[in-house]
Amino acid sequence: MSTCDEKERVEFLQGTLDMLVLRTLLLGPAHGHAIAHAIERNSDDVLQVEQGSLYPALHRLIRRGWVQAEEGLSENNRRAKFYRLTAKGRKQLAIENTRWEKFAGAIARIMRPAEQMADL
Amino acid sequence: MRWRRPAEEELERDIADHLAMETEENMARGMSPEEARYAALRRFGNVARVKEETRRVWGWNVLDTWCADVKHALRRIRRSPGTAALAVFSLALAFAPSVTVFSVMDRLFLTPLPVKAPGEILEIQFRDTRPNANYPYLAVSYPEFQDFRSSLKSFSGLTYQRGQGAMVALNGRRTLVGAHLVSDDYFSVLGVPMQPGPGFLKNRPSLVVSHGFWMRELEGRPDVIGRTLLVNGQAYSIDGVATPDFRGTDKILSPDLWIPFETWLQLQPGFRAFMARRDIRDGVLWARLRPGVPAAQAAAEVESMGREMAQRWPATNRYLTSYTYAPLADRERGGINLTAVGVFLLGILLAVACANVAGILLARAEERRHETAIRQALGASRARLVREWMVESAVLSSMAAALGLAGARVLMNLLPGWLPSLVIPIHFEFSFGPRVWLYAASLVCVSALSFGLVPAWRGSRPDLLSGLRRDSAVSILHVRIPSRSLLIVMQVAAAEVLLFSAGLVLDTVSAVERLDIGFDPHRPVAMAVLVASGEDGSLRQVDCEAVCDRLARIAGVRRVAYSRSVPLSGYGGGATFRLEMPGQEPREVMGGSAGPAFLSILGVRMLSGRDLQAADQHAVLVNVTMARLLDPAGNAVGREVRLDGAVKQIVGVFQDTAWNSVYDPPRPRAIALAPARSGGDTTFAVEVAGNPSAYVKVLRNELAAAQLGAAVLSSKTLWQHYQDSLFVERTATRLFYALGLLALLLTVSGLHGITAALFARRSREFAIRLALGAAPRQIMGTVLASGLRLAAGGLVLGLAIAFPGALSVASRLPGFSPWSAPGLGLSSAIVMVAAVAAAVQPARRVLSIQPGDIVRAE
Repeated sequence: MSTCDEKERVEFLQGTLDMLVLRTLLLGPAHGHAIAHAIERNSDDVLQVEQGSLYPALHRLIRRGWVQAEEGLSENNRRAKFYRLTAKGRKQLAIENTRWEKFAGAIARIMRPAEQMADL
Repeated sequence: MRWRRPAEEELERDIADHLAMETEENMARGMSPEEARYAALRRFGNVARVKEETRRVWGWNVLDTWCADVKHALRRIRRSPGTAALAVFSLALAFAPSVTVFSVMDRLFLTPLPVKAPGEILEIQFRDTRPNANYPYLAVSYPEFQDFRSSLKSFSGLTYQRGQGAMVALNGRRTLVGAHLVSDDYFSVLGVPMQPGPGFLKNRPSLVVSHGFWMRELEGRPDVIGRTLLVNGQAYSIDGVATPDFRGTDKILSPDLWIPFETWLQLQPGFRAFMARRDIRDGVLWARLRPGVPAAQAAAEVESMGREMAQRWPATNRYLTSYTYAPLADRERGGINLTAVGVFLLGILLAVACANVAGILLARAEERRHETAIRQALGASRARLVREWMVESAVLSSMAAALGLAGARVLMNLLPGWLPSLVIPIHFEFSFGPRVWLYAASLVCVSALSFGLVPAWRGSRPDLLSGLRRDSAVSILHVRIPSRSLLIVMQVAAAEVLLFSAGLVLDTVSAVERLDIGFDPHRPVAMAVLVASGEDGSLRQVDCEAVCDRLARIAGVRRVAYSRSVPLSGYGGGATFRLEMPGQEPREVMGGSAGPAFLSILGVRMLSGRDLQAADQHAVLVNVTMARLLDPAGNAVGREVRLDGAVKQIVGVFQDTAWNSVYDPPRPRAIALAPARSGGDTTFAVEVAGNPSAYVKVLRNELAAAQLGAAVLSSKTLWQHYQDSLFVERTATRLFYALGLLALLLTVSGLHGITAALFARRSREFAIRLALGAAPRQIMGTVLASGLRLAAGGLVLGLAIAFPGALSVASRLPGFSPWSAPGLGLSSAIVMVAAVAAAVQPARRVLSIQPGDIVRAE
């Protein structure tokens, strides 16, 4: 189970799960289980995916044409469904990325104005 | 939902794979298999919810819930089939006539005549300026058409049509079809294309067939173009098929053939003299305005042309003025207005049905309060409940629509059968066009909304406490009852008015049957029309005396006669003679010709003199009115008169006889001897011993055998012939009875609904009363009485409306009494019996009350 304390877990902002899935798939095709683990691992276990919620998100991305599903074999030779980023999904990730940076920057500026930063 | 199975299975497998991997990992961390599986499931979250959310992504859940709602609605309908059947049935009762009437209106009024720019087309007619003219409006004769065509400048084209029966020899049999003789530019003036074929050709006898005829008789084969068709024994080549939507300019009677006038006259020269007469005005003149010419200018030109004709042809045109009107544009405007009125009236019918169904559903909502409250307690939102109710309404409405459309189909097939038997069969082609489907669909939506919304809204009212306690103190139905009672009273009143009127019409018809029509329709006489033609379909002369001799040899036949004109036959009644009297202006009298003893066989009374005899070449019979005109002293027999320029001697005076219709006012009429040999159609009548209907078929067969290739039309008894002439009256009776019955059925469903609602509302009270020892019969009485009170109120109201109307009609119609037995007694009895029948079923439910079950507190 998670090494992180329950209290430190962060709820997902609306829509960020989709972005994280896309980002994870940038590294290469992966099956659902691997995606869930990658998100958790890469956020140092701060972001805790309720693993099931990944599936509606994946199917949403498939419908939008950003992700493709294909059959494949997992690390331990199990047959599994792999999800792959499409060219359209790659473009979308770039857009989401920019948007996220703007958003995060704005939040950061509000939470810690420059003068306060100076005081610290 | 087979198509979604692969996706569902794939998702299932995906999730299973995921859980298996997680479990394996957990086991690798040292958990027991069971522990590892549980941990994996915990981290995954609610599997069912994940699936549900994924399905929502797929967009299937919307469909799913709709399907579930429809299934649920069907289940609820199955659970109370009686109530549902009543609702569906009463809606279908409104749908079927609505769709039928609308499709008839669609065909007659809304479908524009498929001609090019119908607004440019005018019709030219004559008006008789004499105040007491027999026919104030007159059509145009062929010579007059030719005059108009050669002189009028305001029109780019003038064309003429005249209806004509034609004998067609086809596939070894002969059929009489309706034809229009037309001027050769008919289709180009009207702007109707051929499909297929070039249209009339100049270099050979050429004709155009209707699309219906092409499909019916020629199997719709395109290679019939150029083929020969024998019409009245003359060979024509089929040079065109009119477009399917062009069924002639007449709305109901559609011709099967169009034949150029000049060709017809060349091939049948005997016809030319007849068509050259200026006073045979039975054609329609269509004129297309020249572009840029205002209609007023054209009208002025036509009027001045009419004045010229009056001067040039005083014998036929002295009193006539010509005028134009725009029948097609007028028809279209009038048609839309008529349809709007029709749709409005049908809407009232539908509204009544909807109110009834709403009542039924409200009663059901009351019964379902407990179920609804439980579902609300479990978290069902009001919107969800309303939606369920509405889906149920839509399902009911759709079922009713299916039933109603089937009913409309049946009605439309019955319609042509109600028409009187005609010499030329009518092909009454009705179909559900796109407008009819649209109308039916909108009926479904509008009705579902109007009867479903109120019960849905009230039935889904958050009412947990009393709903769960089955406490009827607060009732859904509470407010609705008074207005509904009023509606029921009005429905009963409407049913009573209609049934009362039906009874009166029936009574009137029997009064009409007592009118003196101058002959006796009850006489044992059978009659049939013979159209003689050769094997190739060419018209032949009939030797009437030979045919009569043949018929006289049939066992049981007493007397035989032939005639060219027959009372009440609906055609040929308008023929006239010109009567010239010394020192007076010539005047028109009604005319006709009959064979010896024909009038006697029909039972026309001879007041003086004798009937016609075979040798009476110059004899004539006159009726009393004409006899008085000629000789007020009453000694007309033996006098000589000039009719159509020939001198005739009056040999007998017969009683005034209804000739065109049973209401005919007495007009001067002369009957000359019909020649024993002539072409055209001849009626043969046989007087028999015994039942004449037994001779109808024998007569037909004998006539067919009498001349090879003859066509025998409308073989019937004298009584049937008479009844056919009362077609309008009989249709009115039928219509009133049908409407009255419809109103009655709707009333029954409404009364049933309201008594059922009353029962549902007061069932708890009834249970308590039963528990306290009331007799079930007493309580049934209460329920029944509430229904009957409404019915009685409606009955009184209906009579109060209908009776004064009937009294005022009675003052104008002699022999008509509002106190007739079928009108007053029967209609009231029918209404009251129906009311009792409607209230009995809900009332009987009192017997099924288990006081313990209802009174017990939850």
